[in-house]
This record gives sequence, C-alpha cells and structure tokens, in this order.
Amino acid sequence: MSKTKNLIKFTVIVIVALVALGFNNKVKADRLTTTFDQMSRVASNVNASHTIYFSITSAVSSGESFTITFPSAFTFGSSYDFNDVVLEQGNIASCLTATFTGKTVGTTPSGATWGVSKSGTTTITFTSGTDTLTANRCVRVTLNTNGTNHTISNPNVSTNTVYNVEIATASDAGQLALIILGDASATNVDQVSLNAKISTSILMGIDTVTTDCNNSTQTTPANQSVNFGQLYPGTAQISGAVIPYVCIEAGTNSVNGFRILVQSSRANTVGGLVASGGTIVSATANLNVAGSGYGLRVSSTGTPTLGTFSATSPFNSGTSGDIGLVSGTLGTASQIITSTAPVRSGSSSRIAIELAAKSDTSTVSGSYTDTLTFTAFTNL
Amino acid sequence: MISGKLFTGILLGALAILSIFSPKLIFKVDAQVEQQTVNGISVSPIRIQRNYKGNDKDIINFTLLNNEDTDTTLSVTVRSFKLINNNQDISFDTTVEETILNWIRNFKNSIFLQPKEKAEYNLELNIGGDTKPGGYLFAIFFETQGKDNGENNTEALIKQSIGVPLIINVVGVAGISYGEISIDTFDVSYNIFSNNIQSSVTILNNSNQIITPAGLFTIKKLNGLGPDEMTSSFNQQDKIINSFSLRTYDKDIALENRFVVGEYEVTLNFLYGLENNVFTQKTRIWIIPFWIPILICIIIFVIYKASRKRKLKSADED
Repeated sequence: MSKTKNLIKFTVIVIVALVALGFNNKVKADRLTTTFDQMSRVASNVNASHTIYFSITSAVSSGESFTITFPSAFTFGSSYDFNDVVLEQGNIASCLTATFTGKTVGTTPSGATWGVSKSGTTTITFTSGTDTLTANRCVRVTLNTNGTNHTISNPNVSTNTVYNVEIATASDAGQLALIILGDASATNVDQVSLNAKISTSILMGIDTVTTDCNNSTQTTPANQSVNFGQLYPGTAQISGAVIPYVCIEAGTNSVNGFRILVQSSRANTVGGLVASGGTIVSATANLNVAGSGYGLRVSSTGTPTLGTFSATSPFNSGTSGDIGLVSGTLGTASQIITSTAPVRSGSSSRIAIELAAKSDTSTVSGSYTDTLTFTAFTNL
Repeated sequence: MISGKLFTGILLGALAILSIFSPKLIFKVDAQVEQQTVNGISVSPIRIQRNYKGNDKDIINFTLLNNEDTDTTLSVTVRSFKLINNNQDISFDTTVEETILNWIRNFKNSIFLQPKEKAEYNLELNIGGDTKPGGYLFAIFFETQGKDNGENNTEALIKQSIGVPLIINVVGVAGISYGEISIDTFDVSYNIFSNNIQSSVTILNNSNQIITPAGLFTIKKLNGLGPDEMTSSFNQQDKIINSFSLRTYDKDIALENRFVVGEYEVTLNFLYGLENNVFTQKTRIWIIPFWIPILICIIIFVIYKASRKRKLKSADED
C-alpha cells in the first residue's frame, strides 16, 4: 500500500515537475522597441522605399538570422536582392539619435558578410556569417526601390488601409504598422503638386571704391565716378589705392546667363576722355609701355556665390594697366563679362574693373571727362 | 489576471496604433543660405518676346526693385539694337527707329524708387495698323544717373544700366512669312578624345520674322554597338535668329557610354516661326572611340609576336 502511495506521490511530483518545466521552457521572445518605417511614398499602387528602424534587446549572434515580413499585398520585384538593401547598426538604442555604421551584405552569409535572401514573396531574411548585432542597439534596414524588377510596390487600395510588417530575430519580435492611402477617385494622393513661376530677373549694382572690391563696403550714396586727378605726361593713372575701381555686383537667374557691356559717351565708334581742346582716345594697350590711352581691364571676376563669370578679351589681361578699348556710342558695345548660366556675384568679393588713363606731351591741357555706361543684357 | 499572450497582444496593438500615428514621411530639408547684402537694382523680366498684328494694344509690365539704402531715380530710354558678328555682339542705336517710336504711348522717361522699394513700370504699345509686317528688335534701358564729385579734374562718370530686349513680330494682312529658312551648313562629327558628337548648324532665316528654332537631335544606331537611340535638345537657350540673318548653333553632345561604336544617323528636327513649321535635316557619322585603335594595335602586336615566335621556332627546327 505504501508502495502504491509512494508511486502515486512520485507520479504526481513528476507530472507537476514536467508541467512546471513545460511552462518554464516555453520560448519567450523579447519585444522589439522603437519600430517604425519611413516610406518614400504612402500612396496606393506606387513604388516606395522603406527605411525600417527597430531596437533589439538581445544580440543577434553569428550564424543567426532576422527577418522582415511584409503583408502579401506588397509586391517585391522578381530580381530584388542584396543590391537593393542596406543594413546598418546604430551606436545606441535610440533610433532617433543613433549614429549608424553599415554592414556588408551579399547573396550568402560569409565572414562579415550578411546574406540577404527573399523567401516566399515578401519576406527578407538577413543571415549573419560571423558578424553580430549588439544588444540594445537600433538597427536600420533600408529596402530601396530601384530599377525594373528591383522595386517594392505598395498595395493597390481604394481606401486608406493599415498593414503590419513583422520583424523577428531569434530572441526578439515586433510589428510596425503602415498606412497606405487609397482614393478611388485620385492617384498619388500622398503628393501635393506645387506650381510656381519664377520670373527671370537681372540684378546690377555699381560702386567705386579703392579696395579692389574685395569687401562689402558700399559708399552711401553709392559713388559713381572715377577721378583720375591730374594726368602727367608719361605717367599712367591706374585704379589702386588712390584711383578707385569700379565694383560691380551683378547676377541673373536666367538659364541663358547674361553679359555686361560698356560704352563710352564719346560720339564715335571708339570711346575716349573728352575735353574742349582734345581727346584721350581709348585703346587696347599696355599703358605701362604705350605713350597714351584710356580704357579698362577686368582685374577680378570676384567670388561668385553662384555660377561663373568670364572676362572677355581684350579686357582679360592679368597685367595691371594692360587695358582694352572701350567703344563709343557709335560703335559696337564692348563686352567685358559673360556668363552662360545663372550667376550671382558675391557681395564681399565683387567684379573689379580697373580703369586707366595716360596722357602724353601732345595732349592739350584741360579737364577730360567721359561717361562709362555699364549695361547688363541677357544673352539672345 | 492578464495572460502573457493577451499582454503581448495589447502591447503589439498599442505599438501598432503608435506606429500609425507616428510620422511616416519625414522631409529633411538642408539648405544653406549665405547671408548676403544685396545692392543695386533688379529688373524683371529680362526678355520680352511677343507677336502682334496691326492695331494691337498691349501694356508690358516690368518690376523694378531698389535694393540700395538710398533713393534712386532711374532714367528710362528705348533704343533699337542689332545683333552682329554671328549674334555675338550688340550694337545699340542711340535712338529707336521711327516705326517703334510711333507704337509707344504715355512714355515715362524716369522712375523714382525709395530705398528697398519695389515698383512697376509699364510700357504701353499701340501697334500701328499700317506697320510693315516683320520682326522688330529694340530694348528698354533703366539707368542710374552717375554722380559727379564736382571736382574739376579728369574723371569718368559711371552709369549702370539694365537693358531688356523686346523681340516683336508683327503680322500683316498678307501674313508674316514671305520666305523660309534653310540650313546653310550642318556639320556633325565625332571627337575621339572627348567622346562627344560635335554639331555646328548654321541656319539662314530668309523670312521677315524673328525666329527662335527649338527642337531635338536624334542619334539613331544603324550598325554597331550602343543604345539604339539617343536624343539631345537643340537651342534650349532660345537663341533667336533675326529676320534675313544667319546664325550658327554649336553643340557638343556627350556620349555617356564608352561602348558606343559604329555608324549612326543624326537627325535634327526643330520647329520655328509663328506657324510652328517643322524642319528636318539628316546626316550620318561613324563613332570610333579611342579604345578601338588601341585594341587594333594590341591585336596586331599579338599577331606579330605570335608569327615571329612561329618563325623563330621553325628556324630552330630547321
């Protein structure tokens, strides 16, 4: 009898122990935290890339896998593979502030390379070779939608529909929800078309300063004259510390660019400084050598904040005093600067125009003046 | 008592709801805007191109902005101009031709702008009923006055000016086109060094209207390797050809693919004129990239070496 009692006791203990063990051995998955997906498009029936974030509480060890499973309503291209995928791990658990480092992905797991495979129609599996994902870190998986057969298409829905994407590692599991916007009466309902017409414009501002135009100093009101002072025969007066430069701030948003032209007010095909008794005729000449002359040189095109300016021959010499001829009112306007695309000069480093004049012993005394008109004109 | 399964379900449900309401699209906009002082005068638009018929009336609106911190008075003038030297240069007249002068009504020859003020300037045109059909070119200029320092020295007064061209075609009773366009030259070649197709097209506009041809180069494979068809725009910059004038358009068409080899047909199609007439011109070119001669040299070298080796071998055997 006692044997029977003992047998019953033993059986009960074994059953209780087995039941207890059974509960304890039940696989318990930790939950993934901070799961979310940034989609490039959320409209119905369009291709979209997915950037999926999730924080793992347990590590993914070497040789282990994790999966991302989309609902069957999503469509992966037939050639979707590791080339369309980016795997990264953050340095902390917070997906919003983590800094991510890329992992190597390939067809099959090997060493540090994670194998990427598509099983079924909508499950992407990442399998480690020897690499690991550290516990309590954010993981970022980018599933790009690329060219033909390398796409992920959103479900075709006629009303707004929520879908769950499942993520599972060996130890962790979680879901995230996506909403696909559907409207039977419209397409691309996640986008707003913006139409704005931007009119073309030209900006031009001229000032004269003695700082080579490399600062934003503007005299107020803007100085618009260059005083050569007294001209002595044989001595060239050239823009510098005493004679101002002409500083030009200019730009256009036109795709055709524009040009800056200059003309002297002298009623002739060739410009010049004119006095009642004579003229210092404009010339293409190096006034360091030539006997007399008058003209200008683009000493700098400045530092444009957009595009580039080109100085045009003969105004593009690199030598101070080596000037180009300025046309008069009856001549073809002298083109000094061009651009063939949108351009904008920097206000602190503007286009600098050097002016120079030189008289010789035959120049009749008097006050010589000219008006130089710098014109901004679109390319035609 | 909540079971584990139920707890997990509630948790996942809560996460799902949170996920629904979390932002799905995050637009990140990175923009660096340089803080820049703007000076000078802005004028918009920078080009006017219109078609009129006799007795048409129009008001062309310009927007002016004084970016300076000071008052500015701009003088406004209208002058005719010519495009010369294959349209590279501009020759401004000192006045506007009489026909155009007769179109202008209520002309204001100056406009005053306060600091940072934006203002409108209207150019009123009344095209005469007896205007000779054809193209007319003129420009409106907004100019500063310059500022004399008052000293009795040698000096250059500086004026700044923004010119806006007006390209006007006037249709007469008999229509506008008495003449048509033709291609003067159509040169297309392949540059082996830059891997570009270089085109140079000179068009003769033998009509009385100013035209702006716009179209497409189509490069079609006849024999060889590479894409079956490539396209490139023609005169995307809307360059004009004045009436009874020639203009040359140069364009380099870059071949992105190094493996384009063979005979190709280059077709230029463009539209022009008020009636959108179509013009087509074709030519054929051979594209032989730099690696072809190198490959041929290597093959010749290999054959030469092989034959030399064979000769030496047979000599040794002898």
